[in-house]
Amino acid sequence: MIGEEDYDHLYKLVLVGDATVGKTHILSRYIKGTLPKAPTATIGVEFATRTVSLDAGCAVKAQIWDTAGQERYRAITSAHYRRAVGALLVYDITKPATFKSCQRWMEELRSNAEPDIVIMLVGNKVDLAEKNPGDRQVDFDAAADFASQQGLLFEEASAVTGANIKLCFDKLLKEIYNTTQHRRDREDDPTNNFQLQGRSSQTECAC
Amino acid sequence: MASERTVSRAIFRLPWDDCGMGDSEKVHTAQEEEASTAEFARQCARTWPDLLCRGKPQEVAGITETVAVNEADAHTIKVDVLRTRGAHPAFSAPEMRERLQELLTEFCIAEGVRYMQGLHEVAAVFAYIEAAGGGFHSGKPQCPTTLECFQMFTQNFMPCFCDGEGFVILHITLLFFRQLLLYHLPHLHNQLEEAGVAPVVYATPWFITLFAYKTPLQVLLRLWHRYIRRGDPTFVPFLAVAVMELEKQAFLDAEEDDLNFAVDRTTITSVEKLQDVWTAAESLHAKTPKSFSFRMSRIIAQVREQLRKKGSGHPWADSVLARAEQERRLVVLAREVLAQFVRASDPALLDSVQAVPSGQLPSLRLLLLDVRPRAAYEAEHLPHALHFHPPSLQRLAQVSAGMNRPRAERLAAALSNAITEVGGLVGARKEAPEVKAADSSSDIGETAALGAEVFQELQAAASEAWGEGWISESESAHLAVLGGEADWDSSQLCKTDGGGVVAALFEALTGQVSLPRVSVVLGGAAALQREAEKRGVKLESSSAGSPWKSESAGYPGNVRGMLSGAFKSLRQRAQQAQQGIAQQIQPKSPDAT
Repeated sequence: MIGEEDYDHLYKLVLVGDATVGKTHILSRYIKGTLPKAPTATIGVEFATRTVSLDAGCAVKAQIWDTAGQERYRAITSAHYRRAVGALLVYDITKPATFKSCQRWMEELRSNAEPDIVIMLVGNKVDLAEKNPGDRQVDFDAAADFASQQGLLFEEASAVTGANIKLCFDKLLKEIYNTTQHRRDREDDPTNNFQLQGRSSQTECAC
Repeated sequence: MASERTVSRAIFRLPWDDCGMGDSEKVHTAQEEEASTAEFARQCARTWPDLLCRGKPQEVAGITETVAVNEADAHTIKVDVLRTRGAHPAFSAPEMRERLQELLTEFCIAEGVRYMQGLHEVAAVFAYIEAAGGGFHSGKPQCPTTLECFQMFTQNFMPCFCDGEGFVILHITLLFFRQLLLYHLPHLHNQLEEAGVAPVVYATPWFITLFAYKTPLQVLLRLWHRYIRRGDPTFVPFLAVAVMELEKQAFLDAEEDDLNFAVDRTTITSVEKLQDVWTAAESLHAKTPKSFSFRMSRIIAQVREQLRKKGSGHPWADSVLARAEQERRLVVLAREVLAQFVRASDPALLDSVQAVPSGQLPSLRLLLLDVRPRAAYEAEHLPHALHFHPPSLQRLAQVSAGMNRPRAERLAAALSNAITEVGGLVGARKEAPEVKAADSSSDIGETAALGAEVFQELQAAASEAWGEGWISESESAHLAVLGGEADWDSSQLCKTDGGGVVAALFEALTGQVSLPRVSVVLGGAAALQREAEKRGVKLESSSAGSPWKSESAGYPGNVRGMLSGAFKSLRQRAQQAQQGIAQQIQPKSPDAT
């Protein structure tokens, strides 16, 4: 892993989705490689960061905002989306209602975050369906269709086994990088505010 | 079961009453800590029922049609119970989990509310105390049940939990918190604001769970015990600012990108830290105009009343919030200004203008800055008020009014974003001004230069009138800005573009110079005149043409001279008025401790 302070771009990501779909578990798995020792319901927002290097040779620091999922909190959580350039929109493949909510979550993201926010749809808890196929209540294909219609990235994953978790973040970060890179090229504007204060050595990307 | 002996002990006085509930005790091992927490919980079980019932009868919840919680809520409760204080051994016991689930379900039914995450953290405390103490006990014949204690606590001490669906009270509480932070720690406030670190992000869990979220149980029990004993829900913002104050250096040192993380990590981690936080909060409380708590408690009481009557979807909520949004400035009530003024001249008269709802009016060195045009000042003013209306200030106000007030606007926009989605509150909020991407940088530069110029002039004038150290930390002076007709609209909102200078001066002093303890007199000179008339205090007029700098020269003598003739009749009027005033301003606030 790269040193925390050695990065070229800082991306703000938000983790959203209904309560109990496993957002905090996904974050913990990604950041620490383990599940939380004493899981708690997230009130307000929790933060974590991880710096990763992309294939392109750039180091990006992901600043991840893990938000409360309960519907009642939406009035507050929308304040957390400001300046977010990426989102993991999580549902539970064993709970159709959590998938149904994705439409609303997506709309909230698009209206409160950066307009061309990159969203990765994540169907969590595949481990349950692997153990007992009857538990699956949301078809892979249905979710994939929804994602492609809405222009979302999509993966199924399991925070419990760790399957696809890193992949979800990697794909999301890469896509954000491509989007913002494209934007940078297009606008040819070095002060483009999509690049949130890339700091440290201020080295130019090797890419 | 509590023995009779312990119960009677609780009625009179407990040994830990005077020693901070054993806060100083040192615990070493996890087992010892758990034993000490359980012992403390037993003490809470004996004392809380009476403390919670004190003063206020339990409010009767409105008519509720809920007979069961809905399926989604039931599921969330079930999952939340499993993840409540997972690190604490008591909460892994199946009977504790069962009880917690029952308590939460019963609470939602009894209160007729939907389950809200965070409530489980609050309920956990009551379930724990119940288990440790074998139930709650009271010296009175009818002891409330655990559920009733839990309900009374949320009703009387957790204003943000009686918030309906709209989070109106939470937003108002956050606004008051922000005012207080700006008042005492302007540097920190401004740094957080510039980094986009909003109170709604980091302070929401503090207010929604009353610090239950992430505070170790042994600390939380002691915190709540002190808080319940103190009996004043408006103390919570002081605790929150105290928490911030203790971590101030870490925040100021943090990189901008990491500031959100740094603030979010802030909690009261140990009993020792609790002591520090509490002491700091009390000190802040003593250094804050009483108007702050008074207004906060009054506004929250009004909002709760409206919520009960109309529900949060009613348009009134929108206007309350729109109004609250504009109250970025900590205001002092005219009657508190007058009371401090009388205190400085003849403390014996203080009772006649007591501004406080109850308890003691803190003695503040209140410096009154009269920023009205000279003619208005000369017609009538408080004798020791310093007149300040230089051309630079007028220019500053003009430029600020025209340039979109970036800082205030940004805050308003951030808040609007948060509020936009509130059920029933959409509409007007949607039209809230968006932050303009690029303010004219020349305007910003001009404002900064003008702000500096204004401050220099103020510094010179104030030093001459109030002494060189008027601004120093050790003097702890409070600067109250008094505006006039151009500053206040008919609904007592401070105008930012009506030709007044209050808003621009406040912004320059707090935002640009980060001057602490700056407030605005609510309603301005008109309110002060009304108060003075009501209390029989005569305002002074000065001959036209006298330079404002010299007017304040002899202020103590001036005050005495002005008042001496009026003292006799004032005393009589004061005595007559006192009872009436006391009734008028003694609110339902449980401020007395």
